[in-house]
Amino acid sequence: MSTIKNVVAGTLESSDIQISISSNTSDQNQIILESQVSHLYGAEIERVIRSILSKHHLQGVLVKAIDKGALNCTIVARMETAIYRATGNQINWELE
Amino acid sequence: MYDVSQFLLRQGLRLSRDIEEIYVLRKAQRIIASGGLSNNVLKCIAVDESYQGSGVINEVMTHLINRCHHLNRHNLFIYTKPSSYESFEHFGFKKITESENVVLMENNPKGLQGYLESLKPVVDKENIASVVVNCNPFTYGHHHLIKQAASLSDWVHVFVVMEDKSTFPSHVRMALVQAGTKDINNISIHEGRDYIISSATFPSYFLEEDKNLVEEHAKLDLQLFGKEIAKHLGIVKRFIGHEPFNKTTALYNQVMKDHLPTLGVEVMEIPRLKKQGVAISASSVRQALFDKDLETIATLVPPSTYAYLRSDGARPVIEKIETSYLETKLV
Repeated sequence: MSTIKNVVAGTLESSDIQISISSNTSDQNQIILESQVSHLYGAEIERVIRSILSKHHLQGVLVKAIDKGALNCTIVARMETAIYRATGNQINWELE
Repeated sequence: MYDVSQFLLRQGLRLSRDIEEIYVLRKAQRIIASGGLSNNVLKCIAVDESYQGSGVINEVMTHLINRCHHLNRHNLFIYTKPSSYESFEHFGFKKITESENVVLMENNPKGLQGYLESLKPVVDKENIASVVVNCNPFTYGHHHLIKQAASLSDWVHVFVVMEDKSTFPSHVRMALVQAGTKDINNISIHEGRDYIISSATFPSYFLEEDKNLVEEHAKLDLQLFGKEIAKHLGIVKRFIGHEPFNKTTALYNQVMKDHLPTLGVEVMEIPRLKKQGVAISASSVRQALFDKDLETIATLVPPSTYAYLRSDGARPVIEKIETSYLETKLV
């Protein structure tokens, strides 16, 4: 696996999500979520984040997500951008 | 800069002297929000009362965090008032310590916890002590302090201040402490990182600041030391050298004597090691380096430090001392 750079994508403004990616201390993926609606949507946000990680076959990644009420499409977009920055242009954008 | 400090004053904040960059949001020329950086610490974050709750703080925080990432600073701290710390929790910051008037928060979920996990406690020892040193550079005085602490304790955890604001870079200071204490067996040497006398825990230590501010910062630093680091390692004593020269350190020592015992850490002050009646200090070594007085240097530092000072690696540092001393003399 390629090295993961410390990066950030997204903003802290309403309806957005800020994603920070760095390499984890273990080879597992770990997600730390801060959201005022995590009691309602926490599991769904995590599911979307994990699905993008596995789509890119990433392991040993630490994702910190500060959610401000983002829709799933926003979470996907911010995750894709963060991964793009963290791996340095090694995304295969043609993957479905 | 004048209107920024006026704006901050109205919010009950002052423009810290160590601010490197400060950003403001204006509406019709009027400042409605601000946020600044000092190393990896976010400071002077404020929003005009009439705009509170409108989300401008989100804009400020986004900008500061992006700016820090751009500068390759990822482990961020916020220094704030107890009344406002909760609003930063929604930006992923967690409180790591607090004093009466200040709360220190960090955004790295594994920051303090990760640091504590990196410090291995010693087992089967009871009388565990600690020493915190900057060693700019390591002298016979530091050796004396650590040796005394080690002879009066079962084990000593030595913490080296890692903030890169001293003449000698932190990795050099660390290496010289390791090389200079090889004869002492019951110690372990750790980096103080962001958690002991750093620009996060103790910003005014590196500035000539007013007494009240130094006292406030000292309390925060000691709170973190006593409640987290000492507790984790089972430290019951902290040895300090008597400080005859530096006002900030002397004040820090005083606050320590008042404060640490309430957190279960006894403070033991050791008289300075003297050479011909004068207390040895790292600043006298730097003065001797400026004077190119090798004979004096050899009496102040152990052979390991002396060898480094005479090496090619030390040349840029010594040149830095020479220029900075000349500058102060010109002023």
